[in-house]
Amino acid sequence: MSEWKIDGREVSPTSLWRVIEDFENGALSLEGQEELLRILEESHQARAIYLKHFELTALLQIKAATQAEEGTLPVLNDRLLQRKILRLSVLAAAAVIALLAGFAAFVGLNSPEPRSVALTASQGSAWTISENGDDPKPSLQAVEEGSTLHVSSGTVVLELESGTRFVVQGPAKVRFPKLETPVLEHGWLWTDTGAEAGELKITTDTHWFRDIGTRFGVRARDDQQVELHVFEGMVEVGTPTTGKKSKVLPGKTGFVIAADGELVDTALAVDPFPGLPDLLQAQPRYATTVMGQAPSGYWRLDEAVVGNMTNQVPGAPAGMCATSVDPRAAGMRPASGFYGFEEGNRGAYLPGEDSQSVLYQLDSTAGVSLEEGSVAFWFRRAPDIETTEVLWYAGVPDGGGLGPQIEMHAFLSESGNLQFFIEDGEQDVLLSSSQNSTDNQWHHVVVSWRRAAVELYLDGQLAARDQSDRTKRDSHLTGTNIRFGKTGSGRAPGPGDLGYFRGWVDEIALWSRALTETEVDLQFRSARTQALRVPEEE
Amino acid sequence: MPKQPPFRMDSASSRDDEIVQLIIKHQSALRAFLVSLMPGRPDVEDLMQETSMVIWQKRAQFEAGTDFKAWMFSVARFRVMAYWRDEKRSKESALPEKLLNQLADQAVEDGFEGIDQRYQFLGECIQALRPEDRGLLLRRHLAGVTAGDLAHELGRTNNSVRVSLHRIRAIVRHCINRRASTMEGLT
Repeated sequence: MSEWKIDGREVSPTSLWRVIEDFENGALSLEGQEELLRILEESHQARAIYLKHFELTALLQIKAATQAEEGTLPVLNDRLLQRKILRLSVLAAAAVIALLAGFAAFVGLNSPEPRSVALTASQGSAWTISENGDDPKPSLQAVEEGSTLHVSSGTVVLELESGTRFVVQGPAKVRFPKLETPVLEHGWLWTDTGAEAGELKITTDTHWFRDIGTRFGVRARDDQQVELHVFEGMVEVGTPTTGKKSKVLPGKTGFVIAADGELVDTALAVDPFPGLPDLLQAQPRYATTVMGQAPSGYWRLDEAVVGNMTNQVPGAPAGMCATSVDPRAAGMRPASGFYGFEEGNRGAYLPGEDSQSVLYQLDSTAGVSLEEGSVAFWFRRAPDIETTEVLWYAGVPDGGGLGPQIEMHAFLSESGNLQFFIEDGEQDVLLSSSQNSTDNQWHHVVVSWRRAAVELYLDGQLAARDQSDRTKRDSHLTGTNIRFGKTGSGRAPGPGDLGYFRGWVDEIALWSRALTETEVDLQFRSARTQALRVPEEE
Repeated sequence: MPKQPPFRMDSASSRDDEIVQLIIKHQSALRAFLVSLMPGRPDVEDLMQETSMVIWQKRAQFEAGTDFKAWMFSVARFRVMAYWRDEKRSKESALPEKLLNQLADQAVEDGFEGIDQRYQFLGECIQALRPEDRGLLLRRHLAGVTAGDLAHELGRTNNSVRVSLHRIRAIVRHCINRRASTMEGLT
């Protein structure tokens, strides 16, 4: 990449924008002007940047004139007015304590503007930014140094001028004392460093992570554990309390980093970067909201055929559709008030008559953990239910429902109430909604489980919650026995078992973490509204 | 006998309409061209009008099917050169003639293709800015308003306002580029 010199300093193409802007503003020294003109004469690339700069100036002039004519030109707001008042106060004080106030004014007026970075987010995301201890403001489009970004749902992307990208997957909270040294308080923070990136360091309460030309993600979990997942390059991990340092290369697993700095294998997370362009340009729909929440598996069923169901998560396994299922049934559609879906949205109809009435292998790369996770789906059932029917099931092959084997499942009771059961071999939890959901209408279901709580949501609302501490060891379920419409693959439903589901299903999604109430609410609203609006700035 | 239309649409008036449409269509590109060759000068509006007037007067010379924008740029280039040759004109921020021709050639070659699409992106990107940033950026680009004017109005230093403007402008530039890249990816 070309480098030039202006006023004795190296000027990269990136810096050239600034120099040209200074030239336009008449703020470049005479020598600087001469240097700039020389560079422009000599470099086609520099002239291209110059022309791009003035094209933007021209467009801004048109925009400003248009808005002025329409009377919609924004006024300079209170914040700036407050700064002005503050400066006036300083000047007033200067009249009394001239020397001190003069010094204060000198410092104040010469403080550099905090650096900032533009922010983009997937549709349906919700976030706030608090700047220098101010109250959090929703939906700001830039993060300044010194501010804190709190993403309650969705995916937010920051791109530094160096080309380094940060991806914050909600729920997450990240402080930016400097743009290149974020402090992750909780949640997921990913980074992909650009070619021009300088030093980049992510810090959590217990560790730091120094980038060495990499793409990696750090998760600060609610249980104080920290995870590291490396996809490219190398990451140095430091543990200040022990002084231990390790270098981590990409591999087939991620790592949980113990308090003493030891690395313990864990399932590798999904790399968010390959799917990022599609996610950021996606329309405001239910699917965009779900993908923004970084699921580990998502089967929309739109392209399902017997034998295959596309998984929307890049690199994640496809699901399977058994032979009795009709994969071309109508799903939720705008004509029925589900504006977050396309006109041709498809789901699947399960006749519930035999063992082929099942969608299976609804698995993720990391499997399904009994310790923490979430599942979301939509179902529709006619009112003629007579026995219990299983909806989503994850468990051992010979599980028939309601234990005692290791299994968990959402199901419908004989009276049509939505319920969820989880059995980890030592403890079980049964949650039940209070309403009959077999009314031939589509219903949105989310179940989220973690050690501290198990929650059941129906149509965006919390229907039931159990907060007894589940301390059982973790157990991962994988493969064919993560399914919909039938219990374990090694068992035909008998007396006392949950029966086949007879009805419609659509949009099955899986997470390796517990979704929050905010995320569930956003999912439901994005299904029912034409263009989901997150709260605007007050 | 067929009924006559209320007015006659002869080939000359049809051609005039076409010229008017072309002038309107390429106003953004013409402005970008002139602003590039007259950096920081407040007389761009005058040159826009002069160029349009000359094109109208010489419209008979325009051959249908040829590159109207290139012809418009060549007219504008001569107006700019005449502007800078004016002995009474301050030469501060004037571009050397060689560079001016290089820029004009490159602009003709590039043609500011896609500028209307980028204007649409600009609107979307500006809307996503913080209100105070949006106000500062747009007011700076009102005719006759300088960074110094805004600094005075806000009680800030010129340098501080320039830094803010640079920051905001970089955000907008990146935003437009991202959207343009996305659009390219779709086509």
